[in-house]
Amino acid sequence: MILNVWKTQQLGIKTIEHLSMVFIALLIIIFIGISIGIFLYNRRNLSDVVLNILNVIETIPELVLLVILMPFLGIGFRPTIVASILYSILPVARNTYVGLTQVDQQYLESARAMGLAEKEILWHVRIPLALPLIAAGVRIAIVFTMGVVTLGGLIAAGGLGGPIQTGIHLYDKNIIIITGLWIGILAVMVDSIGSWIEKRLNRRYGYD
Amino acid sequence: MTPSQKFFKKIDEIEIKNVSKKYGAIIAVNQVSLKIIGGELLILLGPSGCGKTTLLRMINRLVETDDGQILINGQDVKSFNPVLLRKNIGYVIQQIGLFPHMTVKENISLVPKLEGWTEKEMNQRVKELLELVSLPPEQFLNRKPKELSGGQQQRIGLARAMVMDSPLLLMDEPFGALDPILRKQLQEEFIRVKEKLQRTIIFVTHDIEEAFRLGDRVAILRGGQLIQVARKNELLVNPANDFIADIVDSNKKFRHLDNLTIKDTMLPLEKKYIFQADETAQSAIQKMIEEQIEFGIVLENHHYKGAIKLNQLYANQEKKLKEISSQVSTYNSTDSVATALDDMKKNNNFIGIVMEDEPIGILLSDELLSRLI
Repeated sequence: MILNVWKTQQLGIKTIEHLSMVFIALLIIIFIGISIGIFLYNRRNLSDVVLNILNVIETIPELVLLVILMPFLGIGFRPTIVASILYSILPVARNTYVGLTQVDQQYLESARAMGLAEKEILWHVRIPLALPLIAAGVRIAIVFTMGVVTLGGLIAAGGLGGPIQTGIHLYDKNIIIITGLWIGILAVMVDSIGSWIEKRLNRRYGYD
Repeated sequence: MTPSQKFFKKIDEIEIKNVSKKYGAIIAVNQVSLKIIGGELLILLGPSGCGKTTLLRMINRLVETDDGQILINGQDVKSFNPVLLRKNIGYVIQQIGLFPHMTVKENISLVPKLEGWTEKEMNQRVKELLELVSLPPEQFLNRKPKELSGGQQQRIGLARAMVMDSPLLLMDEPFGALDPILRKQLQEEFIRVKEKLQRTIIFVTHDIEEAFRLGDRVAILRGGQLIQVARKNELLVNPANDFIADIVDSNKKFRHLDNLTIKDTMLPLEKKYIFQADETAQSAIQKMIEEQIEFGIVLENHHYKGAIKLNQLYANQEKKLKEISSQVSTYNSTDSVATALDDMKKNNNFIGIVMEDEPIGILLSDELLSRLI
C-alpha cells in the first residue's frame, strides 16, 4: 500500500522538489536574516521597530499570507518561497541581533583594549560568538519553512503538498496519511541535521 | 594592510595631570596628579571603588577623562587615535578575556594577523612568548582556552598583551581571582618576566602583600583621590596619614610579631593539594587543571615525599609522581615566622611546607612581614 501510494503519487520526485524549495528558501532566509541582524546591530534604535514588524508578519496565518501574496506573485513556486522567507526571517534576524549584542563583556573589553576597531570586533569576536544562537534561529526557520512549503502545494507550488491536496480531493485517506507521515519524518530528519550543526557550532564557538 | 604606527619606542615618563572622572553624581577619580617614571612598576593600590581601575583605563582611553590631561612622553593621549593608541599599550585584566573560539595561538596572534604579519613571523613570536611565560609551545599552541587552567589562561593573557612588544603594560588585578598559592607562583614568575622585559608597568591591585612584592613604588588611592605615592619602605616607615598606616598595618598579625608561630600564618593544607606517590603525572595534570592549582604535595603512606609543580609535569607525563617530585624546604609548625621567612628569602623560595608528623600546611613568603622583621 505504501509502495503503491509512493509510486502513483511520485513521492520520490516530489520529495526532491520539496526539499529543493526548502533549501532555496533557507539560503535566502539565512542571507537576509543575518543581514538584517547585522544591520540592526549597527542601528540599534531601529531594532524595536523592525523586529516588531517582523513579529506582526509572523502572526499572520500561513495560509492567509499565501493568499495575500497571490495577486502580486501569481501561484506556485514564487509566492511559496516569498511566504517562507517572510515567515522565517524573524527567528534568524532576532537571534543574530541578540547574539551580536549580548557577547560577554570581558571579550569585548579585551578586544577593545588590544586595539581592535569596532568593525574588527564585529567580524572576529561578535559574529563567531553569536553563531550558536544564529544556528538556533535557523533551526526554527527550517521547521517554519517545511510547513509553508507544504502549504504551497495547495497553490500548485509542487512538492509534497501536492499529493496531500490530491488525497483531499479524492477522499483518499491512505495518500493523506502516508504523505503526511513522510513529511513528518522528513521534518524530523532535516531538523536533526540542523541540531547536529548547532551542536558543532556550540562546541566550536560556545562559551563553555 | 599597512602595519600601524609605533607611537613610542620606550617610555620616558607618563604624567597624569589633575585628572578627574565623574559618573553621574559619583566622582570616580578626583583631581589626581601622578608621575610614572619610565621603566618602573607602579602599583595603584586601594579598596574597591577607589577609582584605581578607572584611572588605569583612562591611560589607554577605554575611559575618557572629564578633566585634566594624561601625557605619555609629553604627548597628550587624546592626540592619538584611540584604537592605534591601544595597539601600543598592553593590557591584562582579571577575567583575562581569552576568546573561547580561538586557539592559544590564534588568541595571541590576532592583532599581528590583522596587522598583516606573515605566518612565519607569527609562529616565531607566539613561540617566544609562550616560552617566556613558561608554557611549552608544542603542548599549548593549539589548545582552546577551556582546556587550560586559570593560571595557564592568565599566562596566555600576559603573552597576548605583550605580542606587539609595547613598552607600556597596564594590568588590572591579573592574579586577583586565583588560588593563593597559585597567585604566589604567578607573582614569582611575573617578577622574573618583568626583569627580563624591562617594561614600564602600571599595576592595579587591592592586595597589599602583592603591592609590596611586585611594585617599585606604590600609589594609594581612596575615594577617587591620591593619598600618597612612595617607595615601599617609605610607606611602612613614614605613612602620610592614619588611613595608610591602617592599610599597611591592617593585618592583626603585625601586632604581635614576636610571639608569632608558623602555625598562625600558614595556609592549612587542603585536600586538593595532596597527591599520592603512585599517581602518574598525567592524572595529576588533570586534577590540577580541574582544581585550578599548579602546586601539590606528594605523600607516600602519609609520609611527605616531595612537591610537584604543574609546569614540570608536562615533560614526564608517563612517570609516577614519586620519581619526579622535588624537595621544598620544610619547617616545623612551632618555629618562629621570622626564622622561616628569613630562611626562605635566603634560599629564594617562596613556598615552604609546614610539618608536624605529616605535612599540615603551606607557608608562603610574606614580603610585608619580612620587611618588618
